[in-house]
Amino acid sequence: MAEPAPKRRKTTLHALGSNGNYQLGFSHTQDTSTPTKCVFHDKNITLNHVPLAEHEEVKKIITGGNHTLLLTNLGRVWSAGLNDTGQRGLVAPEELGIQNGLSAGERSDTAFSSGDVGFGGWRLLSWTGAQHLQRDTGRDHTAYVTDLAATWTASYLVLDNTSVYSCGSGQKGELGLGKDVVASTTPKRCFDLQDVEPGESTTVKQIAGCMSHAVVLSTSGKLYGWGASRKGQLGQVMRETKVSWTPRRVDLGLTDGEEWPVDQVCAGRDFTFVVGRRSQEQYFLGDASKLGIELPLPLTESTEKREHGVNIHAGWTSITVLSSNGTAQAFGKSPQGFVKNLVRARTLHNIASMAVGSEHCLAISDDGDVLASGWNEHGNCGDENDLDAVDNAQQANTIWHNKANHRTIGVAAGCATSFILTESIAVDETENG
Amino acid sequence: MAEEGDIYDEIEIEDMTFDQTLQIYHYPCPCGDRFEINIDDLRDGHEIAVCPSCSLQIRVIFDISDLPEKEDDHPQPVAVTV
Ligand SMILES: [Zn+2]
Repeated sequence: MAEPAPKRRKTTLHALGSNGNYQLGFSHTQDTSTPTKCVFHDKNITLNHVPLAEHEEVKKIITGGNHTLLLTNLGRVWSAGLNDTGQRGLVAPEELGIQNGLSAGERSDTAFSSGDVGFGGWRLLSWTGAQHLQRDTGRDHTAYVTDLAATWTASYLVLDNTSVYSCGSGQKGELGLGKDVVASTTPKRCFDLQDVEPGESTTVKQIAGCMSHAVVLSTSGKLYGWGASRKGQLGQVMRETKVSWTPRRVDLGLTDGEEWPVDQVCAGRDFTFVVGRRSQEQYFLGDASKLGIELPLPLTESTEKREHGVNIHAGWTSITVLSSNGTAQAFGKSPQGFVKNLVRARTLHNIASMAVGSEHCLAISDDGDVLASGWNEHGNCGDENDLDAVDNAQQANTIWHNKANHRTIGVAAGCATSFILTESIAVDETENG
Repeated sequence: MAEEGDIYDEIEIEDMTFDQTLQIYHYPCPCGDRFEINIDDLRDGHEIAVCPSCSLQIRVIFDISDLPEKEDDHPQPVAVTV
């Protein structure tokens, strides 16, 4: 008797929007307002789905100004877009020779010099975190990448939920590698939780970056940050120095006895927003009034439900809060600032999860459809002429319809870029019998 | 002069980056490209930096007196008529 044919999952990444530097991960640099399959170069094979091993899943997609990184739960990192300052962590060909375990095929596949922008599609990072962590700290881990973040031209790789490695460039301390270090074409260790919270079993709970600053939240509720600090985005102390070249503890300015552990953080262009586990525990680092944000925000979630309750997201000039009842509310300048848009939502309903880009947002509805709202000059919120696609009740554009055998599993948004991750279940006939 | 509705934001010049080679100030645009303005245009009193890839513009907040001195290393040859 023939066994039933094995079911095979196929994960596909679709992208739309601004694409002048291959940041969408196609083989060309045309903008598109239609979700289009991304191209992955796996060794010498080109695929139009994400190459995943068994039990491997896409964990996170993050965006810089012109580059995009994708992390899997096995710690593999794929990247697309501009690599002119090494922000994709890809190394120059001459440096590849010193790396172990690379086949000739992999070598030629990843071998391109920093500064070369003439490459399309997504490519796998071959940088070996374990080797570096061992050398830098003496710690003998099977180090793998557990989280990612980016600024405009820098990227951050978190190893083992503890150490942060940075690469790329930044004039305002974005690399966190010390005074006047403005470029590094390979990842170098800029922050280690074991240095600042020694002997504790704390780990990196969250890392976030926006245009020119980065923040790390520890599971102890402490916040650390570096990069541009002139706007107060890293607190009052670091505001004075204008630029913070090395990571430091961010002082929330709370008086003794009134301190609370930070539960979530999000980073906007000139600000950082944090919340604790209680709704009145919120703190805005930066100039809220310039963005028209009135504090405190009306967060109504109860403490107990926070894990599946409020999720905070930052755009460049706005904050979006998604509550457990499925209501997404936008605060700040973006929703009503400049006016060259078809759709602009202040509030979305029946939302399961979302992503916020520079000046637009994507939301997955309870039905698995993907809604887009915000600035759409590059087509990142879909086709403006396709009026049927506009959900008038939501004031958002439906750019993806969920299908039973091809469901939406995630979204990501960057600088006028949108990404939709889908999963299809296919019966694999080739392995039948 | 650009209309108010076209202005994405007002940005202090200290937050912009000066490119010595190109003699321009630039600042990231939410589209992925960047707003640019030539230092000579600032000296002439212009204050709108534009993005070459989209319609957004920013107003640069600055004092002309705070701009770096104009370098006169290479004075223009004077046209001589005989
Ligand atoms: Zn632009």
